[in-house]
Amino acid sequence: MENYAIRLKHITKKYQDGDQENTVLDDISLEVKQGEFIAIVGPSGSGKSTLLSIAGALLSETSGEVMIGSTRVSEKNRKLWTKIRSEQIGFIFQNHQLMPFLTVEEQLKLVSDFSKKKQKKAEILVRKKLADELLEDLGLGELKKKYPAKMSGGEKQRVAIARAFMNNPDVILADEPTASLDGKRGRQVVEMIRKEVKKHKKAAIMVTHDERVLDMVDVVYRLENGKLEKIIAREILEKAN
Amino acid sequence: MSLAWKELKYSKKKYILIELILVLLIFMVLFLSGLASGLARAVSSVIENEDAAYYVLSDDADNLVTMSSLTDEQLATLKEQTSDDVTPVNIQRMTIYNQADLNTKLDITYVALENDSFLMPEINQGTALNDEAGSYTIILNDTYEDDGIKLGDVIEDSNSGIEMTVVGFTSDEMYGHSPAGIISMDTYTAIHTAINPSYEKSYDAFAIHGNDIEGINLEKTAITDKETIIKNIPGYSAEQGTIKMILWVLVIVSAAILGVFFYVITIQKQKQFGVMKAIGMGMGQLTGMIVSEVLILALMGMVIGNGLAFGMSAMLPKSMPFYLQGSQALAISAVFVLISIACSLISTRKVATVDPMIVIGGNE
Repeated sequence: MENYAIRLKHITKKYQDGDQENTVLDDISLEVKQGEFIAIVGPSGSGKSTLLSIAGALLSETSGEVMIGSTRVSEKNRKLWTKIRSEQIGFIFQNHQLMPFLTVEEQLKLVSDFSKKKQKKAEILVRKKLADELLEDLGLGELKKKYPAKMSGGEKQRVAIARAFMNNPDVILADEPTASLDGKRGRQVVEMIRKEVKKHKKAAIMVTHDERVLDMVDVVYRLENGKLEKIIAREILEKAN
Repeated sequence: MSLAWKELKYSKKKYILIELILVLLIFMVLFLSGLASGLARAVSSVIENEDAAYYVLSDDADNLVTMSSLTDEQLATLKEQTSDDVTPVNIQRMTIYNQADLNTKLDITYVALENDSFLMPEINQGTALNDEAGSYTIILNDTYEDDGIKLGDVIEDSNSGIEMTVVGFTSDEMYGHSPAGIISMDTYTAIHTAINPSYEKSYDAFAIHGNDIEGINLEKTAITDKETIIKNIPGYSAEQGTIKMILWVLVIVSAAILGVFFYVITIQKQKQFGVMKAIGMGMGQLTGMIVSEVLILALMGMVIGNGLAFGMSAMLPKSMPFYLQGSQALAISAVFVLISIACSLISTRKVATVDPMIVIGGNE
């Protein structure tokens, strides 16, 4: 059981909408193992973002339980959420969301600076090595000193991937990582996520609209009407074609 | 701190504009405060420069030097009652002619002192007073140089017709907006005797060179400290009240402008702060970054603003009442930096309310 990197148990999320109570997520359970890459698809407004926010210690559930690694994320320990996000979760956002004023190298250093204020020399070296390795893997070795404004959309998204892996998190959460990219670059980016997930044995959840990239993930779930159901990637692909 | 600096460096143009506003605001406040103390000194520098902590005035003078009248006997008694040096002083406003130009009357405030008085100001050019029988000498404030008066010129008191030779110049000696002319007690008596033959020698005030005032018990007199004397110079309190009010309004307006600027910048970067929070930056670090940015801007603005203000004060004409002291400028600058930081702290409250969830779901 312990090799689940993230577990959502019976998650329900209700919003008050005027007089009505709107159930966005209805008793959802999801478990992702280390080294497993899953995708969640579903129509707009189906609650994909809500689910990702709950999994990412950004939003509290109405009922249910979230476990990241061996940490329970709950309303009670809300003060720890920032720490959980910086140490156990790697986010990849829709539009890279890099800091415009930092070079590629500095972007990665920034997140490693969050986690611990004072770092030992040896640790800094380890992180530096990890950063170099990630950049090399993602084909960004040449861009270390560049600012985001000077890079292409695909390059920026790849830097964002490197940033997500930087703190050795338990789980990678990707929110429509291909939304602002064309088909070819989108595939490239998802391919990179897959490669790093497998290499570093991380669990990854990707929320996406883009059905063209679903052949690269291990399991695909569909979220509709507050329910999550498992579908097989190949079937979707066949439908799409 | 390094993060703050990186951002400032990256968005140079934006922050240079903000820096410009900061510099202008600091400069404006410094300049006005220089004018305030310049005006204060134009009214009171004669007293201000004097090295006396207390003055003895007649008790019906309402702390006004020029209304007071004291006698030789009182001076003698006073000298017995205190161990400190005591010296008499007379201050009176009159007019003079420059003998080269008899059509123009010039304002002057005579400050009459004894030749060896500790109140005697420093002489920048020329020599000390040296009256000989029938010839009188005067030391003028250097603003008269702008009126074309030079060392060795003879000026004439317009009421008495007494002629005085300019033997020296001093600087920054003003009383009630009129520049001072230092004369001896004998010259002062001569002027008054010429106007009114029955004039009896009297003094306006006795200055005490120290703090030994416990034993002083002189009938019909009051001991007044220097600050009270200055405050009671006609016009001083009203002028200072007005200018200080303008100054404080300016400080408040500056604070409001800075507050609005920092707030707008913070709102502009809301999404960026959301991302930083989402990827695990704590509120403490965010606050540190925002405050550091403002601190860097404010400190730079302080240095440049001070440079401008002092640079300009060096170029102003002598007749312009402008006087800016280092300690005063430092205090104002410090207040400014504190205001800036307070303003930035207000906008960090906005950052605290940014929900990092805004980053998820893009524009949904």
